[in-house]
Amino acid sequence: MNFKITTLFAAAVTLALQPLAAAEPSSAINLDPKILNGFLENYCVQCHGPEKQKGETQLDTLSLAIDSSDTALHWQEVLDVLNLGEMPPDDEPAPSPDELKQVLAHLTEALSESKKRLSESGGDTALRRINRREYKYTIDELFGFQIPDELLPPDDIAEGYDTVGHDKQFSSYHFNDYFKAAKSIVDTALKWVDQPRSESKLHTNEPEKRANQGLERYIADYDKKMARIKAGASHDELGIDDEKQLQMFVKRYDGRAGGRKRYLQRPYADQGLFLSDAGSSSHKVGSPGVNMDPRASYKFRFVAALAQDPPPIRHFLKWRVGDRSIGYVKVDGSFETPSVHELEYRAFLTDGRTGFHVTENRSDSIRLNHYIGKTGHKAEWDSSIWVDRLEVEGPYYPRNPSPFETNYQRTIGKPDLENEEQQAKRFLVTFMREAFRHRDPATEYVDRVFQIYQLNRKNNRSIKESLVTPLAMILSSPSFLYLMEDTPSTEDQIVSETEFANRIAYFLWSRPANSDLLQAATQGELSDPAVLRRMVDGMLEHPNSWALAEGFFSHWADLKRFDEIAINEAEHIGFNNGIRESARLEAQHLFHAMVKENRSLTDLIDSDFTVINDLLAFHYGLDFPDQGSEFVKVPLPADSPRGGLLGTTAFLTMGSNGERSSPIIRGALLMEKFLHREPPPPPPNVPELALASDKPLSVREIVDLHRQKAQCASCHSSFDPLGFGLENFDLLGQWREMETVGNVGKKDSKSKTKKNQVPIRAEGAFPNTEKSFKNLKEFRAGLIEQRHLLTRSITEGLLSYGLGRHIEFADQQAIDEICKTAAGNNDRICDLIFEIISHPTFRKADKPE
Amino acid sequence: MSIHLHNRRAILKAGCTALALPFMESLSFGKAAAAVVPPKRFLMIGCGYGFTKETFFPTEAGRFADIGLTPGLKPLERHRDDITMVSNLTNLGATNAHGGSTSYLTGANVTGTPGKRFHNSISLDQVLAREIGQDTRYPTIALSDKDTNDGHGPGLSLSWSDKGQPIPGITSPVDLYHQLFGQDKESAEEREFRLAERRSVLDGVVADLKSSRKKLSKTDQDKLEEYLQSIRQIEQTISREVEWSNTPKPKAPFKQPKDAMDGLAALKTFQKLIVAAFQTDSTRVITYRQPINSILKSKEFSLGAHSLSHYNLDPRRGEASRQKDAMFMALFADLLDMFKKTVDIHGQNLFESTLISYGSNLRTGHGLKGCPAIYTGGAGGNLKRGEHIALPEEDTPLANYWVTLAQQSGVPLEQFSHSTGTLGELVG
Repeated sequence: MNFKITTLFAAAVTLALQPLAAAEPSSAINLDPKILNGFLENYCVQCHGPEKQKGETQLDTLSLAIDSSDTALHWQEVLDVLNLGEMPPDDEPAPSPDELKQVLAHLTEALSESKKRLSESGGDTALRRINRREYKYTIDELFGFQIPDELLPPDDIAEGYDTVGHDKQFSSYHFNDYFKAAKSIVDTALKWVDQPRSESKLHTNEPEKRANQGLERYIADYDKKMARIKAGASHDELGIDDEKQLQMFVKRYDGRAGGRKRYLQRPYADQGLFLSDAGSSSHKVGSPGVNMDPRASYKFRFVAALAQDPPPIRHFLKWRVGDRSIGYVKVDGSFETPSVHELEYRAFLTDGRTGFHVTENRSDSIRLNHYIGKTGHKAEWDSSIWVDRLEVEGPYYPRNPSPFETNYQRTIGKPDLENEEQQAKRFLVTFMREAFRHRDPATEYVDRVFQIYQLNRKNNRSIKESLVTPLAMILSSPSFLYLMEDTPSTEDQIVSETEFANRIAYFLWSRPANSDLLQAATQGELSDPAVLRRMVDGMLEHPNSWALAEGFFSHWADLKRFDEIAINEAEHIGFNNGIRESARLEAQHLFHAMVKENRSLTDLIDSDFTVINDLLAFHYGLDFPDQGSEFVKVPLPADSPRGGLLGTTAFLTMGSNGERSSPIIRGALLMEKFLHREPPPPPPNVPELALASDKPLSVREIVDLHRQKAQCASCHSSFDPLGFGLENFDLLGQWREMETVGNVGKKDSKSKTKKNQVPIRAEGAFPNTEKSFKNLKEFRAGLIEQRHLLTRSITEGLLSYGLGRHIEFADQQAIDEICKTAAGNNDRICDLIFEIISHPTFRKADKPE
Repeated sequence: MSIHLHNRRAILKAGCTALALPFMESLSFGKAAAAVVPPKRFLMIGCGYGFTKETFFPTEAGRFADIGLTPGLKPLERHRDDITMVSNLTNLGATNAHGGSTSYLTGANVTGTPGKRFHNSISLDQVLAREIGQDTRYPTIALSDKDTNDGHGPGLSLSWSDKGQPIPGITSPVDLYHQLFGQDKESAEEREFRLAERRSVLDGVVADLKSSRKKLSKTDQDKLEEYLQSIRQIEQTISREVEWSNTPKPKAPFKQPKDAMDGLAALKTFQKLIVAAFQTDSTRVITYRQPINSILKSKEFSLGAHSLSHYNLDPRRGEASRQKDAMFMALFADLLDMFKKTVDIHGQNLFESTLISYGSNLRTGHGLKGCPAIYTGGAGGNLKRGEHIALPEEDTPLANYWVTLAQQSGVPLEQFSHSTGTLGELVG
């Protein structure tokens, strides 16, 4: 028997998932009759066919071309009952596991693709509201201020890039949050705008002075009370609750006063502070507090020495301002020659009076004595680091005043009572133009903003006070919050030169176009490919291209997954906040280094360098040049397994379940990122597998077990084997040759004896080429062989991020063209970015209707 | 093929059409005005993940007094005769096992709506507030947690506006405390100036919007409409603020909570504040998107919530998952204690004047069928209490449950989201 609809389409179908006709962008996804026909005929149509339509369902007339959500829902039902094992019923012939697996895999992928296809909107970029990062850098451009993310409403709703306008919604809460944030920005800006720049000063804290005085007071007080007790004073006289408490007081003498005495007797306790229970109860020590000028930077400095010969894991300090981490340092000084640690800190708008503090870098979720035991530190007492002379020096100002300061100085900065209103208006209008990315505000708008200024003045508020609301209002207006682009007046349907410049600037730097770029734009020079190339290269080499690593790459590499993974730090003491923050930065620095040097995308698979700090060098067992707490690009030894995103802790740890490595998650990530095929979400309602085993299982065996069901295997058999390629890296991204296996789920101490070591097997296969690999090296080579898929994945990502919209079927041609040129350029990233920017798609304006 | 799946298609299709209509047309309230005295209140708690299948869900129907409580529900023993669990409900809008709570109170088909990558619709609390939230300072309050990694999926709370936009939840107990009890020191004159200025600001930004809009493409103009809508909404809020400006906020029943607290302390403080908010009649509708990871951390669980939800992989996980269930039910039991002990400003017992629902889209693991649904509290009129009710049909729409709860507590809601009717089985 054959199906009417099927035969109709069979001729048109050559490959599964090919579009029906290229001319129709949102055309159907076609199911493969070769996969489905026999299956339906053998197992379904008897009950759901022309004769019987059990459950009001007829499958022979169901179209294999999924061109509407109705058809998609029908097929979804078929998939659901197959996944649940509800159909075919027990008393009917059942498909073999392989048959079932093939049909499930095909339906799952086709439906997932058709869902995307059906949600397409025709390539228009919906008006983009700037995201947190863009807001932050835009404010920096306007005011010269660094603002913390928490000041702004959160971004995260959708799964796509944070630039995609369609996914960014706006509610009254957003308006209120934006208005509040803007108020605090302009409040501070107006407070500082006419403050003279202060002289740089040095503020020093000799931490031992106050700490030791406190200890001595405590000891003296205890001694005094002990003497009185000896002399027969009662608990009442001493202000102690009762006799029992009094006895406790005497008993605790040695632990409390004695511990402090011994601390003070330690060599060098009189010259600096040991991070210790006795020295500072919080194990941290800080610099003096300084009233931070938000326009300026400061130098932070301290000296430190190692105490009691600690193991390397206890050599590190975390450096913070309030809750904000500003770096990690490795202490390698001695008491005779302490190491000097310095960094430059740029103040935040919200800092106020503050300083820095340092504390040992270690997991907070484990008690100190427990931790010290686990590190193997043979220490008499709890310290590993001694700190002295904590200094803040500054402020240091940028060479040029901010546009806001300049504007102020040119207008109301020179008070002129006669012309106050005119001056204020000029100030506000100039600010509007800058904030609105050089679009002219409407007259009516200008009047309304100015009326608010007047209203405030009439209510006896000062000039500065009266400017707060008008300025905050400008920063909450649509022309600031949205990247507006006029519909083109000409036939060519491309955005104007200035809009093009802003598209480029927001793409590469997450901020408005600077004067150089704007000037080139207004003089029409951007249509000259040589000029455009020079501009783009200049921007990519500039430190501001960090925004591309922060925005595009973090999302492409799914670093949010890494942020969200919980590692049991009590069990894995090698993991802590320092590793977490540094590993995230490492991934971003890797990409930024590629961008700054126009390197090939294959560096993501394997590179001969990595960008790390001291702490990660220790984590990876790599040498590190003596260059302070900064991230440094270091060459990798030839035999190092590091290199590429694949060798980073960020990627490897997000490919874990928090307890052990997870080839399943790694495989899914690898398939999506490096082979450009996104695995569909897990089907709902498939019953969980129960894995209980009496014999110890390796991760590999656990993963294999989990594919015993066709419902799981239909997708997992394609990507799980990929994940094995990285199995030599454990859940913290550290290299291993052996894996410890224990009985699943037995926690008692006896099971320790049953634990044994088995060698890691890193062999697997590529799902698309079906080529196999034996180890990490072959795995990397296999990925490099298929680099065109990585290029495509990055290209689609960059285009979506840069245009602020989802990539649709209609974009495939443009992507083909860009990828082709990129391949000719050895897949070098800056060449690729230039191809994207110079492609007509990047300049295309929205359709007017 | 089973009947219920056929229903789902029909319902989702119908749902999409209905949701495309403006608000008032898509939701049909009955004509009769609800009698608002004495006030009735709603609390909806969403817990994100599901529960341990084998030990949480009762297997037989009947009064808990007869069938007993499962190990997972055991901490609710002292409320045994007040809680009801309903089985065989499914949120037909939730189709992605990793989709979280996004559609828990909306029932929308979040990722399967043609022409849209992401779609949501109004949540139940916002609908209820139109009816019972008009006589209080705040029509609704949405609570959430700072940790966005609690398996709740996209969204900022359980609440979504009538345009399907996320409503940010209050994430810090201190903020909620201020909102409820913070006394502003503003004089009447200052307030008048502030509100007048605020209105001018809104007029101003709308002027920018209108002049910019003329030059934009159709898609962009549509996007800007969201902004305009939100400004209109703020204008309404200002009107409400004016209305309430002469009514002082209630006195705080306890001291201001600390700024920094761990997950468990924050949850307990939120529970206290929920009770206080109802007691003082500051609001009558609250949603709470409950945290989980921060609570597990406070209780020194070594595993995260996601690992616990796949508890079959390892017996240690199974044990932890059962402990997690019991811990959350114990916290819920504490909350019910507080409700029972409290009398509101109208002299009513708070438990008797509130309908409290607790649940999630997920039953267990990736299972979306038969989601956990517990209700309690006296505001439910004739709703049965102290039972496990097994509905006769699998995959009964969760929206039918919401409509039933609303109706029984006197809100004349006839249809909501993908609802197809009411659940007579719950009424006795």
